[in-house]
Amino acid sequence: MKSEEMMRMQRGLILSLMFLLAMFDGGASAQMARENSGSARQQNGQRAEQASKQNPAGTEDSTISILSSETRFGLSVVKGVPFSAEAITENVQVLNDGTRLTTKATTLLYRDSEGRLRREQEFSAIGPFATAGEPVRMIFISDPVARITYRLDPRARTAIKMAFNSGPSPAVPNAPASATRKIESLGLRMIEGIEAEARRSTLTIPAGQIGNDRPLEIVSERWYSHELKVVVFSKHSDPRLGENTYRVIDIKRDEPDAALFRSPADYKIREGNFASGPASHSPARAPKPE
Amino acid sequence: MKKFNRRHRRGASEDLERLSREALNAAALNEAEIDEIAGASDLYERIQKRIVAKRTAQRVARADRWGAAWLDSSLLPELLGLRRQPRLVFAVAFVMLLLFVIVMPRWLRTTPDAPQKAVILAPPSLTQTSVIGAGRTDQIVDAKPDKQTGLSGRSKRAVRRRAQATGEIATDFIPLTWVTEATAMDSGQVVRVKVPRAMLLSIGAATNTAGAGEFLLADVVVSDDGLVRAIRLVNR
Repeated sequence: MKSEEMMRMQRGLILSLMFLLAMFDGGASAQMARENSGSARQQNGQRAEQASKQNPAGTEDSTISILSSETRFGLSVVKGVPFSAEAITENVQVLNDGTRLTTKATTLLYRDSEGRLRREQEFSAIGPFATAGEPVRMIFISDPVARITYRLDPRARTAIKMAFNSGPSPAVPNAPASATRKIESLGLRMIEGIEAEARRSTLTIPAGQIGNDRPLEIVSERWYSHELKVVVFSKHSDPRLGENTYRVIDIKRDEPDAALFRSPADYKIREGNFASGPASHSPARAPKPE
Repeated sequence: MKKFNRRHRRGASEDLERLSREALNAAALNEAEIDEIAGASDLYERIQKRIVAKRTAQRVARADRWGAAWLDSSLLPELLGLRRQPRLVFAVAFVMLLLFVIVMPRWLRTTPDAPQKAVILAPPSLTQTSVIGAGRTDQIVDAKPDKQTGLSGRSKRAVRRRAQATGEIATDFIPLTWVTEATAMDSGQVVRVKVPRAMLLSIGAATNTAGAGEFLLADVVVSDDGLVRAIRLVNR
């Protein structure tokens, strides 16, 4: 009889232990879920707080704010072909109700005989998306001779000095394998007094590939000057983003001022990288060095 | 365990003897009849079944008297059929302990102070993360272990270590449009932007509609002709 009691106690102990473990396991899972949701809320709150700090005016609810340039890629060194020009980028998007959204940006280009480049780029939009506030101006100088790259900030009058380094192209996924590609030559044409060779590519995404109920056509044109070794005109038409047009105008073949490829004397130079410091928000063009 | 089984058998034999004596007395059989019954091959099993059935009925009745049979922990093995399989009980207990050991460290890791690694907004390729390293002029490092990047398992571990060091994680680039090599502009830049979540919804780069008014960090690939080619979300 005594042994039966002992057995009963043992069984009771084991079952109680199992029950307690099950309870604790369930409690721990619930606690984990609570912690995760709490952290997510905390993170969202921090992000919103950060956003509100960066947007004190609160006027940019539906626009992009440019913070910095992370890297440049695809820089090529072309020697013996100096030029200066202005490039105009225009994006037109037609909405369903017929509204046309147009954004425009101007870039100044300079290249000397040694292959140094200066690029003064104004961002009033990122593609079809307008940026908040004043247009952001980014000035890059790349000097393959001195193996230096500068990023100038005209507003703060600072120059960030970096090693000459053209980063790798970002790994952007290609079009779906099912897409058909058609590439055709458009021959030669004079653009702004410069001979350019054109190619057109048509990418057709079959119906149903990305939820499209009919084939989607993305058409790109690129007019390339073999003489200047630059693209002088391009057009990209995607029903999802609208039409993006880039054209180089006012091309001058003179040697640009050498001072354009140096940091201005009154600029404070500091070592850094592409992500160092904020992007320039000055609406005015950078003053040309004397 | 052996001791437990021995006690179990001893208890069953005592019950068997007692029940047999009662049966013989009640039946008032002669010697020949007793020998015939005792010679039956399944006698022992039949009597043992009767003992078990009788004992179970007694316990259920007792537990019902308290109105909570399920509270009688000693009865539970009977009801569950575990009485004859004590090893199963220990196995289940062991599995539960194992689960506890597995769950406990995870629970401890998710304390509020622990750094969060997940990007809240979740495009389809969220699990494939890229990390922006310390040297940011050449920082585009993809953790996706495919032909595009060819990162080994060791590289992925290095990426994770750098993620912990810089506290910045990014998704893979999500294409906004596609270009062919024949017409693509070769040069461009990656621009860090602060973008409203609502805009990401409009371009199909986000699936979560909650907090559409929030701003998120993103890197946008812009080629020098102004074409926006791809976007990735960044979590600091």
